[in-house]
Amino acid sequence: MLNNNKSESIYKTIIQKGFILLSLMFLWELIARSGIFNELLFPRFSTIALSFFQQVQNGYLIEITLVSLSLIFKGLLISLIIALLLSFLAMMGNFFHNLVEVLNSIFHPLPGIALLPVAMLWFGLSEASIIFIIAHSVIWPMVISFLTGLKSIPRINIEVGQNIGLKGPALIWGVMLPAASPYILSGIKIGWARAWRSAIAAEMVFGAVGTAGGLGWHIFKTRYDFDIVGTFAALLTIMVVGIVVEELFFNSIENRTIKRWNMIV
Amino acid sequence: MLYIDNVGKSFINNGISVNVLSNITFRVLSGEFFCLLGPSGSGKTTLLRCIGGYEKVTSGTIKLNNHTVSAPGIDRIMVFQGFDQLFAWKTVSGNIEYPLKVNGISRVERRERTEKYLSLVGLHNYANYYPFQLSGGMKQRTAIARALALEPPLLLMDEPFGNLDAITRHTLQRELLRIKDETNTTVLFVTHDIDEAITLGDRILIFSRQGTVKSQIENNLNRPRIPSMPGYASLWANIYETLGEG
Ligand SMILES: Nc1ncnc2c1ncn2[C@@H]1O[C@H](COP(=O)(O)OP(=O)(O)OP(=O)(O)O)[C@@H](O)[C@H]1O
Ligand SMILES: [Mg+2]
Repeated sequence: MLNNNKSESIYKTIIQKGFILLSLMFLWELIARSGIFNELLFPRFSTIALSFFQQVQNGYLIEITLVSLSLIFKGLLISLIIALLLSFLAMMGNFFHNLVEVLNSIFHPLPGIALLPVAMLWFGLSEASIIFIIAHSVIWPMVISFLTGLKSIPRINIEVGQNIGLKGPALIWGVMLPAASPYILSGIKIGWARAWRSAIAAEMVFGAVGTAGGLGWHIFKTRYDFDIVGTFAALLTIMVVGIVVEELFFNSIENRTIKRWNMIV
Repeated sequence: MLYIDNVGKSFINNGISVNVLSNITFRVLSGEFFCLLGPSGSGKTTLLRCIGGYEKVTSGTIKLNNHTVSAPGIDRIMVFQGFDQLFAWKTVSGNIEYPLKVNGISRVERRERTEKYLSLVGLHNYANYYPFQLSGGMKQRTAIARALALEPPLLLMDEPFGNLDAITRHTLQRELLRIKDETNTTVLFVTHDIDEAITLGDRILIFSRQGTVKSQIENNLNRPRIPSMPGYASLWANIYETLGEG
């Protein structure tokens, strides 16, 4: 009974969200066709969608998306490791907690793109520069999330863990990470969104000077060539990837973990 | 086995140091069923937490097999007071099996013990439930099964049957005694229920409201102990009076 209701409401959500998306597309198409705006600047949705599907079919959009995704993936992985290390470091005592807090308040407000000149000086026109920018924009909000999670672990969970003989890494892996999992997941989600944005932004700057390009570079280039439909097709790609990752990847992880354990915060 | 020697414990509450335990001295012999009986707020949980290694004593010493207790350990398994001691991310059987896995017990034996203690506490039909899907008493029983399955040399139990119905409570009391005899575990059992202390305890230590030892009572009644047996009523009255004075 409970299960039935649940799958019914998931089904409903999908239908409703799908309906909203379709309406937005339809609205776009109507506005474009009404002729209020210059069609060169505001192409029809159908034209954009057609170009999108053509470029997906010939593999071009997929190829450049994969370039961006691989950058994001590397950036996220590095950030995840560093953010976890920093968060656990902060739990080791007052001094380290203050240290991490100071680092956070120095670096968190700093926009990644403002660090680009520095990154170029340090890493040159390489992938490493973009990964550096991504990691910078991901690590700090992630640390805040993770640290909140670690602090929210009920003491009794730790005590039971110690009682059954867990220490150090085993205690972290066996008790602390699962107990903090709602915050860890939300940190990773925030990180993913940040990484996506800063990767596109960094590529737009880098692509202009000729590195092998991803979506950001493609957006920059299409605008330069006045290929507005191409620009919008690339933007559409960003949205589609965002929705797929959010709705399929993160939702399915949540359904299998924190939602199943009723550990939603 | 367990020496509690002149233990005192104080907490700082709102800047003022409050004495919760003072001059607690007793010893628990190997294989004994030892009950701590006292009114609410008398420091029973605090003492158990000191013995478990979760709190440091302010004065005195606690020795287990001649080693001073300083940290939690697998040689003293604690059943905590309350409902929130299960791992929310593990099922009932997962909660029981995981500590066995951590302690290197083979898969086959893990399965066996988990099954055994699950049915012992009457939860075999709930093996795949997550803690949030359980009632308070069911959570408590899972925690008891988890502790028993580890078959530790010393069991520290803080009002483990506090929230169970009379029948479940009696079943579990009987089973606990049986398991204790089978495995030769020593049990230190906190309760504020006089009948429970008489039913279970070989010895009963009575706490005062101020966190001192009032008296220690030997309980030589034959088992099983039922209220109608000779000696039960006078023991009950004796404990009741001791608890009541001052
Ligand atoms: N962490 C703590 N910090 C400050 N004071 C505490 C702490 N833990 C317990 N106390 C105080 O110690 C006293 C004894 O508490 P304790 O939990 O040991 O009582 P108890 O005998 O277990 O009571 P109950 O039967 O209600 O469980 C109480 O007055 C309580 O306020
Ligand atoms: Mg208590």
